[in-house]
Amino acid sequence: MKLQQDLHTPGEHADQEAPLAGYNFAYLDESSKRMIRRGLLKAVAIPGYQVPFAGREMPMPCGWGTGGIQVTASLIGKEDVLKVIDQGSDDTTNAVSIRSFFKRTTGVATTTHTKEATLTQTRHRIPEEPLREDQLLVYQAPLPEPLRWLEPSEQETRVLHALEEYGIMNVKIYENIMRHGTIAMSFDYPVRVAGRYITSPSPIPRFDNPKMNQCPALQLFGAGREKRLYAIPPYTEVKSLDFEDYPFTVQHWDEPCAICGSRTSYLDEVVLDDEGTRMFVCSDSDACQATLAKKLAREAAGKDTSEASDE
Amino acid sequence: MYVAVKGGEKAIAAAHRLLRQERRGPCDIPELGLDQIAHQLKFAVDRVMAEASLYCPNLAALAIKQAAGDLQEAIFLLRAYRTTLPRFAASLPLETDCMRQSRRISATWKDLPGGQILGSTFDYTHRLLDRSLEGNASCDPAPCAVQETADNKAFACAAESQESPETPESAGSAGFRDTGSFPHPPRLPRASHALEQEGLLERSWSAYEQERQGRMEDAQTLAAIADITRDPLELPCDRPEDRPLRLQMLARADEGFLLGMAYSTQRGFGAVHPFTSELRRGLVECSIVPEELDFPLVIGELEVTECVTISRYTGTALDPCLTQGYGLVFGNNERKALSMSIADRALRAREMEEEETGPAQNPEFVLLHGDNVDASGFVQHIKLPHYVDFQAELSLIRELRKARANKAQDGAKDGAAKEGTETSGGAQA
Amino acid sequence: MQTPHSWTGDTVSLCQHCFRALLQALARPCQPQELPGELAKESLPLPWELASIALTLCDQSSAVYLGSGLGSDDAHAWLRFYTGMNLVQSPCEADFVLVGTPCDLPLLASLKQGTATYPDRSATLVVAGTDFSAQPGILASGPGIRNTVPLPFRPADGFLAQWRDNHDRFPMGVDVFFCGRGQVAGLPRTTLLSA
Repeated sequence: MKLQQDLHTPGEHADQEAPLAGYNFAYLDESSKRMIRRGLLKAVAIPGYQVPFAGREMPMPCGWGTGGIQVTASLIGKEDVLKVIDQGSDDTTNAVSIRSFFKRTTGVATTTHTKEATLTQTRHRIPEEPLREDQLLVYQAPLPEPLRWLEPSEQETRVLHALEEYGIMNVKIYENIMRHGTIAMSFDYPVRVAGRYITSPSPIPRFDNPKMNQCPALQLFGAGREKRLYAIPPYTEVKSLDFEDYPFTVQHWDEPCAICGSRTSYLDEVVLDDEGTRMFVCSDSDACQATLAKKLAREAAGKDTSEASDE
Repeated sequence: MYVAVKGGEKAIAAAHRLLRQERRGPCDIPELGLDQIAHQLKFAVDRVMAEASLYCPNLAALAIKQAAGDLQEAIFLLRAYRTTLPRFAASLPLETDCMRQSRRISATWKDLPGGQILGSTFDYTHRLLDRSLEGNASCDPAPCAVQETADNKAFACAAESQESPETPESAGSAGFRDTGSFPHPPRLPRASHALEQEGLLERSWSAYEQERQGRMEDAQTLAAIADITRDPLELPCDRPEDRPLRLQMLARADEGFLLGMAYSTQRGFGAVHPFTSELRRGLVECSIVPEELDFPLVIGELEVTECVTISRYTGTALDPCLTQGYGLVFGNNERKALSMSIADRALRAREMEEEETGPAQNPEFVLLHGDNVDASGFVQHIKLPHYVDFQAELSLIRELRKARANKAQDGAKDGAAKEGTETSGGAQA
Repeated sequence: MQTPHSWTGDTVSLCQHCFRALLQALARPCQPQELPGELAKESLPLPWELASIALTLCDQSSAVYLGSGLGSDDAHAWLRFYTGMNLVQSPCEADFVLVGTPCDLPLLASLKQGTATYPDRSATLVVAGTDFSAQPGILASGPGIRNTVPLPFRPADGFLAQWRDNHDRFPMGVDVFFCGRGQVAGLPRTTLLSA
């Protein structure tokens, strides 16, 4: 089985295509970039705190990644290798659209391989491949305020953060446990960054939360419509909220990925027919292909070592 | 089949091709020209310019054509273009008192200095489909424009003697044609001026106005007013000095949203029962003071619609008086200008210590939800794939149901031999 | 002397490179990063590292205070011409405080600290002339640092005590960039320094 994304040659260079005529490198004008850059520095200095910024209209709709796109546009340089994923995959429509936007406006190299990327923009997933110090991860964050569902007013939530008054969040989790016997939050599971700010990890599944903790890469978040930037510096404690007797847990599946056989990655469920037959496959298409390639190589080498699929 | 759930570059390219075809329609129908849109769909063009906050009829017409008539899409196109434009200068405030008016009405006075000018309006038209527009009606604009202008003037100055419709000056004084003959049109004070002099208008407004007049030329003070496109909005945004910010937000807010907000206060969710003190439309000069020169330069003319509504103060903090709401919109858009002035007035509830009874009085509610570029993007983003999050929800729900079914089973065992036929929850787990 | 306004290089690329260095510097405190050298060979009326950083971060919307070491008219003219920055008379009004030498350091407590609700509205201090060849045996820890790293320069007298107070004001407080010899090191308010 061959995925469409393999049709891109990795590290494909678009040098011949000059950046889009009539627009600055990476679309944004320099003064907008400067404004975002100043905001990003403050975001890094105050881990998990949401820095307001004057989000610009981008040529894509708000809610479709404009925050992440503005952050990426402020970071990206000619030497970067860019990867864009949505739902873990490089080939979802919006990921394709954002990647081609940056190809058009910067001419930088793009890749689908997590290992090759210097800069990865993501929506709703963290790649399975552990990130390194020389990589940056940019998240698209639709609703940056983790307290928003508990308190609709921005004025109020800002004060709660200032006073470190997070009682309402504990009450919500407690009510969850009372009602469901467990913490019934499956994605956008709030975290506490460096022991201070409660922060939204963006709508990643809670499966991905542990990857944020002590991550060697710098993680940056952009919320375009809500006009907020925030950051988690490398090697920073990121703790998913829980109670001692109800510790945080992650999702697990009873079966392995139907393509690569992985038992350690996040799986998407695919309905195959009207009878409700289902198949589970990796959400991270790059990791899936890498695991599959290794598995095939092992099989081809005829080394009949034990169960090879548990990669 | 796994690939089938994902969209590729090819699919996107094909979707865009289809869209272009659908925009163009059948090739035997002549293509729309931008000048046709700009001149024959003027309300659409004006709305797009207002909500994109970029005054350029040609580009607005292009956006409308490209968006195949989807005005919100066109607004978005023009906004995104606007963001990339460099900023050379900040203009001085528009002097709407010196407007070259094509329409001016007041609902509070039967007659007033400067008179009433009915101008072009849908008001009083009978909403009957005009079958004569079905074909290509012939166009004979020159004489009819002169005639209309003259009739308008007649309405304006009923007491004065009729002017000859043939004199070109009479057309020029109220129409747009005569751009060559300056000087300024005479300063025409607001209809509310008399009330202000009598002290019946709220004091805060007058004080603010005076201050505004006083510092009109002071470019530094002007620059100190935050710009909603360059500075993040800071809430609660409910102080008197936040009003310029709120007005900026309202000026580019979605027309339908503002209309709904204004309507809600009129119906009782917030107490604004306004009179139209004045509604005027026409051309105003736009000037800048370049850094190297210290006198203003006129850089062009804009058509704007301006509206002042007044309503009785219903709170207790001030003496009984009248209060004002203000609306100013690019182009010809009275619905929006009126809605804006009502919303502006409603949003001053906190500073005037009025009871807050409706969403239109809550700045956070109105300011954060009125922008259709933001709103439309977020509402429509749920079309994007969410299967990772959905999968997370699914597995959680399954887990919860399983846990519940197990509990129910345990309960059934404990609670004697009552057989349970209602174990439907467990079946699916 | 060369006119101060002679540089005509590619600011887009310079600022992008310089920003990435600053971002990494602040994200990985006390671990010096290389600054792009485009301005290194220009004859400038101020340290080139400082000029690069100012170009990257400051513009019409930034209130900037220049320390006495940068008092020359040429330095003012260069910065005004290339960045359009707003110069302010008092360090307590400034978003950015630029200082020519480490001995010129202003009192951290006298700079903008931000507020409890908006701690991001605090000053960023940029100090030029830092000598990264000495390690005084002070350890840094906090977000961005795996375990600990040594402070890569000798701090000015009294700085450590000031820094402790600044750190204690978290989430408010000042962030500092130290630059010199083509490098920049960041010291965000989250970093704890201990002897």
